[in-house]
Amino acid sequence: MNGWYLGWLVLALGLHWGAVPTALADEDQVQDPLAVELHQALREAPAALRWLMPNEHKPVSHTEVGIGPDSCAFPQWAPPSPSGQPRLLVRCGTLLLGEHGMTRVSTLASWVRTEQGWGPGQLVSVRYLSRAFGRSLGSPPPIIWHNGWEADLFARAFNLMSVRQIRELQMLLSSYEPTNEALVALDQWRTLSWPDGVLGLRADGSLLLQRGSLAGVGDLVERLAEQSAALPAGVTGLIRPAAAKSPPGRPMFMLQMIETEDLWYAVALTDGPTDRAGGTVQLLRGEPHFNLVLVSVERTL
Amino acid sequence: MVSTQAVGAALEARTRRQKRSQVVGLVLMGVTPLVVLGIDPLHSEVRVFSGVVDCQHHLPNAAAYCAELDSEAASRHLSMAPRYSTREQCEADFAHVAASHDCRKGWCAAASLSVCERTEDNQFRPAYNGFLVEQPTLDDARRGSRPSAASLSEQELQPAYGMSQDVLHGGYYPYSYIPFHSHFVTANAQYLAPRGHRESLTLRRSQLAPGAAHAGPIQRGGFGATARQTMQAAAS
Repeated sequence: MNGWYLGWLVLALGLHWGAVPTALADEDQVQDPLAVELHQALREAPAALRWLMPNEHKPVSHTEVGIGPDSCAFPQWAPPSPSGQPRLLVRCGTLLLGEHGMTRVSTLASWVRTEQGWGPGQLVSVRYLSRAFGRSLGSPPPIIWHNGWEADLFARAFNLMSVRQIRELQMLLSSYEPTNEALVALDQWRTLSWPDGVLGLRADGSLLLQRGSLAGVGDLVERLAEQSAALPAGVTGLIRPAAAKSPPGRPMFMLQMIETEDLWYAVALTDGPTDRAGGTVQLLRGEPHFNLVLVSVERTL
Repeated sequence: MVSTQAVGAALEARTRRQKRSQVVGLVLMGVTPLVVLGIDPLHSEVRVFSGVVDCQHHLPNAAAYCAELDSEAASRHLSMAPRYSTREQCEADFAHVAASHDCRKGWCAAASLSVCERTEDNQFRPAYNGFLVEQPTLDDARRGSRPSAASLSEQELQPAYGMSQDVLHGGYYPYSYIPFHSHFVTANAQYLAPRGHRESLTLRRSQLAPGAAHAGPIQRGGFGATARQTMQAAAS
């Protein structure tokens, strides 16, 4: 066990970040029964739950983690685990005395409900926010990830999303139903040639640009002018998954843009298979005729 | 004794020298007044403006004349602009962000982009981005003498086009291309100056000749290569 975890385990001292920002504790979102159950357990019976530190295998108690009954925000739905089990993500705030001194940190934990009850909450990330005293942590503040979770788009986005963004995302995921014409209209956009320098189009006529050629962009502008009224209901524009140093992916209908201090993400409607290999698209909701996906938009301008 | 043939040859040689002297003398007679008057027959001083407002900064007391120059140059654009067979070829040379202040966090209004437009005969040409005017015309305008814009020759007034800096710098690596930096070129692929350049430019008169370099639709890379050469020549 390295010094960092020793610091965490021994020196956290059960200091709760008593004044968890209202944004983390203020919940009025769609509440599914599992989330309510976990929330109650975290608040009323925290001793019955176990936690796993990032990249550690031994379950520990909430006092060892330094998370108290009021430290955590309301659990939120997350894409199912690889084994298909329902999964909830919980953000908590606490104070940590470790290698950065006394530091405010935001933790993100993944909870899976099994037949035996709530499994250990896996801390998938620890994000340093600010020192309690003294010097700054630099910018951006460091984040420690549990092995493999850094590539999980939803977790990355969720880590940094505001309460309002989370609320809008959850509402969208639970209620959006595309019309039959929507996917036909998407095909029409895909037949156009999209230059590498264009990542997205919005219904208001603006374009999201990145480094790369704009050759052929006039066709998109022309088509947008012709068809702006024809974008399906709920669709705000078109977006392409993008990662630095690789060509952007195929356009999808953009339903919501999520701008975080790290990356931009879009919730998008598509009908094709999701490109998991590139790490730029994650399935959020799969239906027989359409998929709602989370797309990372790594801008270069 | 000197032969008759030798005398004839000497006379012929002297006549040739005299003729050469006369030619040199005539040339000097022609050029001397130009030099004395400060006129350079081979070069022309011009200014390039990105539009009426830009022109008005230079001619604050001639706003209407700037509008007239802009309107006439825009009209000449229809016949002088380079032509391409496809929009993609045209925009590979010319597409850029002309008004970056219309961009917010990476999103740029479509109107801020300079893209290629379709011609009546289904070819493509760059959008009109500005105009160049000979400096003497501007000097006259400042003094109150304003010839009709339509009466100016195409060397005195012609459209200008924005071209991406990355194209001018010899093609680009796909992920280094930044569409925000552009330079002005003529319809004849002659490099003028970076967008926003405020000083006058000295060009060879041949550079201002309309339409000589590219007759008919341009193939990919041709216009950019010419503009690149003239930019390098201007820099050297």
